[in-house]
Amino acid sequence: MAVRRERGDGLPDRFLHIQYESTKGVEVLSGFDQMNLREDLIRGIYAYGFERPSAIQQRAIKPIVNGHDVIAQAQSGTGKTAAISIAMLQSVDMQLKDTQALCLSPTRELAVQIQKVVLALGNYLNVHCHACIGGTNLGEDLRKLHFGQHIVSGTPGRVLDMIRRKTLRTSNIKMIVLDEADEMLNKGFKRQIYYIHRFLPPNTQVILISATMPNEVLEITNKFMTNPIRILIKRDELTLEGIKHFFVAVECEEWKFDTLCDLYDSLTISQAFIFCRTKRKVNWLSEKMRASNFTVSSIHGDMPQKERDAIMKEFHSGQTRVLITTDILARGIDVQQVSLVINYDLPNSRELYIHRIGRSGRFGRNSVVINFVKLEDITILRDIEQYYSTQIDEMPMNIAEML
Amino acid sequence: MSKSLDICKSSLVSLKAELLRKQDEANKAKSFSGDTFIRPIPGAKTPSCLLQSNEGVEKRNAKDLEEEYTPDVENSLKKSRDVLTMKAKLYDKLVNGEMVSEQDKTFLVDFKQKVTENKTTYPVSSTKDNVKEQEKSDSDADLDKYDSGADDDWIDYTDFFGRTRRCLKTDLEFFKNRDQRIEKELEPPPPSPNKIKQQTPITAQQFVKEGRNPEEISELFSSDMRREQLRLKWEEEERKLAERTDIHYEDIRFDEVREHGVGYYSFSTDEKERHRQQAELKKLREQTKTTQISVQKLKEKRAAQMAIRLKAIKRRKKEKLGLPIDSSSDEEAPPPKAPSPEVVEEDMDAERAFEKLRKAAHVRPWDHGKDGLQKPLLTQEEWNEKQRAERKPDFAWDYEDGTKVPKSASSDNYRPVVEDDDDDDDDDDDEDMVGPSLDMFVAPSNPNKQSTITSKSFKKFIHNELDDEPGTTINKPYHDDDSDLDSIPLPTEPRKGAEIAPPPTYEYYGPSGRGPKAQDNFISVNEMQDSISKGFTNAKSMNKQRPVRGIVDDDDDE
Repeated sequence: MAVRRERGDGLPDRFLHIQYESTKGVEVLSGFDQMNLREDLIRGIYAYGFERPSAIQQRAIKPIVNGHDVIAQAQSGTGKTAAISIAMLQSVDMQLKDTQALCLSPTRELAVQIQKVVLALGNYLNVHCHACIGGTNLGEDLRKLHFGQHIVSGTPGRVLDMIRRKTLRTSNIKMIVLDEADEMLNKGFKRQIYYIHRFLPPNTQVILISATMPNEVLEITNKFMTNPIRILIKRDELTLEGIKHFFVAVECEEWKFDTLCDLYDSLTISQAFIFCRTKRKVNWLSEKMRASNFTVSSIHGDMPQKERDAIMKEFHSGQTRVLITTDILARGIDVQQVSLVINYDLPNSRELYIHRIGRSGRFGRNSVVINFVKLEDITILRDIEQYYSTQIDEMPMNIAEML
Repeated sequence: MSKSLDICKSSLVSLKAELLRKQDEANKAKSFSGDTFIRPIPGAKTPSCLLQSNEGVEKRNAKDLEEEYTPDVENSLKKSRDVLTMKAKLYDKLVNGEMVSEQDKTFLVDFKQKVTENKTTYPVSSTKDNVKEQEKSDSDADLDKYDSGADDDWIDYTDFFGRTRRCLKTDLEFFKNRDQRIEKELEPPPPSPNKIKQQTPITAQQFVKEGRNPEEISELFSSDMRREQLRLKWEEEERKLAERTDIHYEDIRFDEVREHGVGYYSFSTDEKERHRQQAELKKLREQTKTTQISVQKLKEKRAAQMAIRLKAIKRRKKEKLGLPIDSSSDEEAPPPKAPSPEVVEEDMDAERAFEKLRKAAHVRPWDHGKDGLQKPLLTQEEWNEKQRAERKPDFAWDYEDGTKVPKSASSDNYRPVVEDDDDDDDDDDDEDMVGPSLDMFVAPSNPNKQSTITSKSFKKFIHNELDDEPGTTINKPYHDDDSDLDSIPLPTEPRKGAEIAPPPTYEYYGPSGRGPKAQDNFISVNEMQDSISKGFTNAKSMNKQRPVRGIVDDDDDE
């Protein structure tokens, strides 16, 4: 017994010192046409607006297509989703009308977005991609899956349900992608992911992508990945040049609201996200804003799916310009026009900060992040600043000019 | 400077004669067009290129004009006219004070006050009636009203809408008829029962609604109403999608604002139309390709011709200079061919196959117990590890006391005694095999026969999987490098080499475990001791990492 205890105690120390580094010798392909992709896929890529592959796309697509397990990390908004979509579309056999690639995301909105990207890039391939998410009609899912989908993008709960009902056939699945992998392998989702993995054929290719890859996640990857190719970035390179960070120091919570009202005109220059810590706070803030005659919309996980869906569509179509939300939309959601993120409350983790600010400044655009900090929270902000080696200054007066 | 020039008269005369002659010549040349001069023919009426229009333009123009008078356009015109008259009527009513009530606040204009004002100053209501009366009156009055202007042919008149118009006298009859027709058409329909009920100020808005298409309405809506309408539209779209199986990007855009590439082609949401569009695009693409190829060929041909000509010129020059002609130097080597895509394809296929094999070499913890799981291909190292792990503690190395040498270790014919495992009953007969054999490269039916001893607790393992105990992570030590994979045969290589079992000698399976040693046994004592102690430390460290059952049992016993 003594041996075992010693082993258990000794381990964490040992792992603390492990520095995961990118796999050496990953080939960099500077053009989509060098990647040996299908002609119709390349057509879809160019039509979608990509001209040159981003850094992550230059590196990650080929190993995935070649069947390697891949852990890919890249800054927010640099085309990770597109990279895996391209790789999935390249790997799928269009003649075989069965699920061959499975992409799992932590939120329904993200799963729908990935479905959209897959369909857009595979427009000329006429790919079938289904968003298998909770809160929707089961019958529709059954019918669509029965018809046969090449790629399924979904949330773990519904996907697992579909697999257990044998509606989602797993025998032809050759790759599983975990988008926002660190979130997916967190406490909340890990069990479901594990169960889903148990249903997949052995040696299924596993792809992990996220903007943040904490060591805890990297440590467990060898349980379900074989010699993965790692494409990682150092955390001081994680924040984007185009995103400017500012903070507004407030003495008490109540002042935040007044500050927000003062900023409202700047918010509506393009589109903006306002992040709060809880659903209740989202409700409270949106009601208070509306009472003060400001037009805002809000979204959180307790709303019925239909409502969530409609609000997302409104925001995507530019009908609403200010969206108050929880961390449900902190990850992955891509709205091109967003140029301002307001952290009404500071995020709970350093990772979430990166994800929240990543909602703006998509694909190289410029943007601004404003953090509302109470005096006692300023240390948290300073910690984030230091951790990512970035700079968070006090908000200047001419903030509107920067948007 | 007043120096007079001395000019001979005869020379002046001759100069004049010469001038005349030249003038005459020039005149002749001008009039005679058939010679070398190219001059524009004075009378020819070729329209300048600026005035020339493309072929078929006139036809199209005519068609457009025709289309302008299609019933569709007429309808919308009629509608707008309708609306305007209705508005006018409403206004009249309001001005007359028919519809104005005390509490009414919908109109910004205070019509009540206006009514009183109007009554005194300006009789608005009569104007239209006047016009009508005038129009219906006899021709004498007509002539009065349509009073002739300065020009006899032109005449001014007031049309049904009260606009002053000017037309030819001959057309007057036509216009009058038209006015009457419009009047008839615009006769307000008898009000329906619900309309009577709703004789409230809302009617004003209804007028607007009737006259405009939904898009225009949305302009007038508040943003809330617009959003509501969009939601309804999206819901409708989604309902349609639910029934369809073929869903494409255009079906799920839902008015998203997104910049696409220049090449973006918004396919139709209709499946048939979409197919047609794609087929058309394909056709265009092929056309482009064939044209490109033909152009390329032409270019090449030209280049070749040019090269030949250049060569000829060079040769001629050289001949002129009397230099020797060496044809060989002129010959250019054909440009190196780029690797054909097929080769790349093959390359990728090979890599994919290799990756598959590489994966097969290792069973991931989460894959344990899955159907169709292939037994991992063990490398020599792994095989050694496995054998050692399965060794009975009695015969195995005493890991506790490094100085002791195992009893049977000195024997050349050392035979690993495999522990009898209760779990595997199907390949019991294979268990007493000496050393690795072909068997280990093929699938074992039992995943327990893993390379490390951890697999013994396999069944428990699955249940324990999700406990975030960090200890489990080193059950299979992670290799950053691919060293253990190098020994896997490449897909193209025959597997022969690996199928031959290594010699069952102590040297091979000994604690140093570094494969077969060199043939010569001349090893100094120091070296031997050194290696043995190294082996011990190695074994000890392994002992710490792995839950080797035997050791733990020993611990418990003591």
